Amino acid sequence: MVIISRISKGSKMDQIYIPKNRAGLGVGSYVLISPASGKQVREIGVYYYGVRGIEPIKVRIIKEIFSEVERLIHNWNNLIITGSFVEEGFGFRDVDLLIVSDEKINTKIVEGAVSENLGVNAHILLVSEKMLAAGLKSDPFYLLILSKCIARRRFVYNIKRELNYKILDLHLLKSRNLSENFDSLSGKDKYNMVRNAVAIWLFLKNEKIGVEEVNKEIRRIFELKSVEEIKLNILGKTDFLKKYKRFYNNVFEKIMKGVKNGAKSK
Amino acid sequence: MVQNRSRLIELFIGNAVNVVVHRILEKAVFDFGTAELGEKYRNETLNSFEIAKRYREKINPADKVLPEAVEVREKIIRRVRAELELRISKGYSGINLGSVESEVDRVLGEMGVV
Repeated sequence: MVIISRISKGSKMDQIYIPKNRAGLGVGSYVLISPASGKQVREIGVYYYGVRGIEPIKVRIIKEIFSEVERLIHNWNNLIITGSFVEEGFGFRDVDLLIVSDEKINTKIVEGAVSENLGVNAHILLVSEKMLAAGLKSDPFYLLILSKCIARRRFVYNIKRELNYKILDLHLLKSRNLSENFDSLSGKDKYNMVRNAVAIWLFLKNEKIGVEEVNKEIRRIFELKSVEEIKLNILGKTDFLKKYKRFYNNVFEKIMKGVKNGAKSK
Repeated sequence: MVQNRSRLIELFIGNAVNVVVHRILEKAVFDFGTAELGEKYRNETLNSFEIAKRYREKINPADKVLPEAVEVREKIIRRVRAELELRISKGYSGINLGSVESEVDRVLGEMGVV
């Protein structure tokens, strides 16, 4: 039983008045008093997508973030935490939060409040319902980031894919300069570029796109023991770039073939 | 890693080319009433833009027009055209080659090269 009441000023002690007619909290029972607003966390439900194991402390943090965001904004359709934070372990730098809303929301203010009140460095992306649906249909990156996530509300992840080759060409451009910038890119940048191209490749083949699937394909294509070799920036440059250029050109040619055939959807 | 000036300029050019190509292709893809999606994809050029900017900041004079500005501009225009013509030759339609120079000038202006 929860009762919300106001503290009133007394002469020697302050007090809280509660109604005499109540279902519980009998006279003489011990109660816990806590603020009705502020940092108190309600028990809120979350939905797991592709997350097999996650540390309880992280789930608590996620619930606190959801609670804080819900306090700040009201017109949201869903809140989704994704990225390294939902991976097992504590190798994350920030928390990626997707706010699904058709309203204009100042994400910088939300990021600031989450950082100030919870001490969590949140990276917030705002998308509309329409954009999310379009992304899940035609954008391998959306499929990748939402293959493993924790959401405040249920959402439909399995939407029929649509191959828009011109959009895929745009996506692939993000991976184009890896060879040229190889020496100056960090391991994380390199991994993101490789991951992007491989996710597009899997999308073209209509295969499942998830973190594990993409990493497995990276290992296969570039003959690596682990994707950590890319993330830790310990790749053998000549051998890797030879394979990367061949792979990139292969993906590019496949996309151009699609563009030529004028196939917008399959 | 210490990089010499001409290498830095080459790296800058490569990334600037990517930014311009991305912007022109965006128009080819999204000028069909899907402005909202176009806005989302606009953010994706940021990566190349940020990398190009990082290189630009390392090329002296960082806060003035580059002495090689004309040469850099010409190289970018040539490479952007090559990238776009490659796509056109493969059947890509709707690419506006006429916007290359103005788009290059815009990007170079944003980066403080011209």
